[in-house]
Amino acid sequence: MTPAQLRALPGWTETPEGEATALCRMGAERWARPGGSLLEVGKSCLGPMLIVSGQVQLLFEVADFGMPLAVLGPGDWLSVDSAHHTHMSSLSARALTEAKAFQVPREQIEQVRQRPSPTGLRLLRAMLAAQVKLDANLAPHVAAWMRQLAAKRKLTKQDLLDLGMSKLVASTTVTAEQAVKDGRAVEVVTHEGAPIAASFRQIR
Amino acid sequence: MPSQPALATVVRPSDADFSASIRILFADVAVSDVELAQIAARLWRCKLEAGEVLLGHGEPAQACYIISEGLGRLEFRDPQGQVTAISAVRPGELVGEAALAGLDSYAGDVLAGSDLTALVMNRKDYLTLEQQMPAAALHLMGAASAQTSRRERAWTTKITGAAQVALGVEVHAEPTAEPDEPGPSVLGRLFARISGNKEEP
Repeated sequence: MTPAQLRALPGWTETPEGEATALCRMGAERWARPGGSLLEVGKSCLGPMLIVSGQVQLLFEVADFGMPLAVLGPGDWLSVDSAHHTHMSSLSARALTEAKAFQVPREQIEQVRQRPSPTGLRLLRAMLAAQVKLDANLAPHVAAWMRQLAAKRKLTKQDLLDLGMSKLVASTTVTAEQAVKDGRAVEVVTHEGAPIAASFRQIR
Repeated sequence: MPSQPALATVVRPSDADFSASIRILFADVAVSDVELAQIAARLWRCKLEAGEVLLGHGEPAQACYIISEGLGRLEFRDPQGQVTAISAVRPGELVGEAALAGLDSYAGDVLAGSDLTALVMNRKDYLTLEQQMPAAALHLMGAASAQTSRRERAWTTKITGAAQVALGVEVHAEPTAEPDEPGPSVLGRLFARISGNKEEP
């Protein structure tokens, strides 16, 4: 990511050139094709990611079921919690379009926290704002699940569907259909473990 | 949001409730006495009775609160007006992170679950802290971020557990404790080397 690209992102337009340059040196770029994943449930993440371009869907996933939480775009952050610990990720993020993200390793964040600077304040403020927004996205889902769990000790598959979960293969097909041109039909042909990657082929 | 009385109770670093709550809030970081004094100097104390609203969804984010005594609860109110408590707020926890993050309004409701005392930092005082002692401001933001991460993780863990049971998925216990010495990642080692960190073995 270049300083100019950073300064074009929402929330970063006022960043002084020097700070933008310093921030761009802190991390590395990551790319994902439509349907590809930037973050996977059960895998640890090196550090938070700032979305530079494209759209990314944040999902809650269990086995082959998923529940979309939010669609993130340029200027939004992913996996801010990985700045604080090495736990496995509890959410996944899949690109809806070709997406580019800028990942800042946990160790860099730790250095920022130890050496106060305007850059560090700007970075942490942006990540905290992203967490507050994620909280707001999670809250209605959490409330619905808590109400359901208070009413029933054990949920059924139908309860999960009622709570907004769906078979991941369905959402992958939708993603694939959006990615291919001319409205051609698609068929999901490979599953990579429980979460389904964007492996599909156009049916000609 | 409680308004600041003209003669608000000041907070001193030696106050027992400040020390106890700050010890929990900054459990993972070393904060110097000077930084603590600067934080305390910008706090005032407010007391609420059970059921009173500390901050409300959509209200201007003018202050953050460190709970020092009592219990609070984070609530979600759906468009139909149904209210669900989604998290408990305990002493040493910071709420109203939106004020630190520079957001316009709060994203949720926090109410006093019992009689509650909170240490309040107004947004303008936080901004002066950023200018005068950025290290202390970074500690506050870092602690708020880490705490928010823990809350989100608790939510997703609970939902995951319920969904796994419903789907009959075999549950693998995830290690909850951090490794003793979590080694830096490959990318982290590379950046440490580029930035000239000689502590790398």
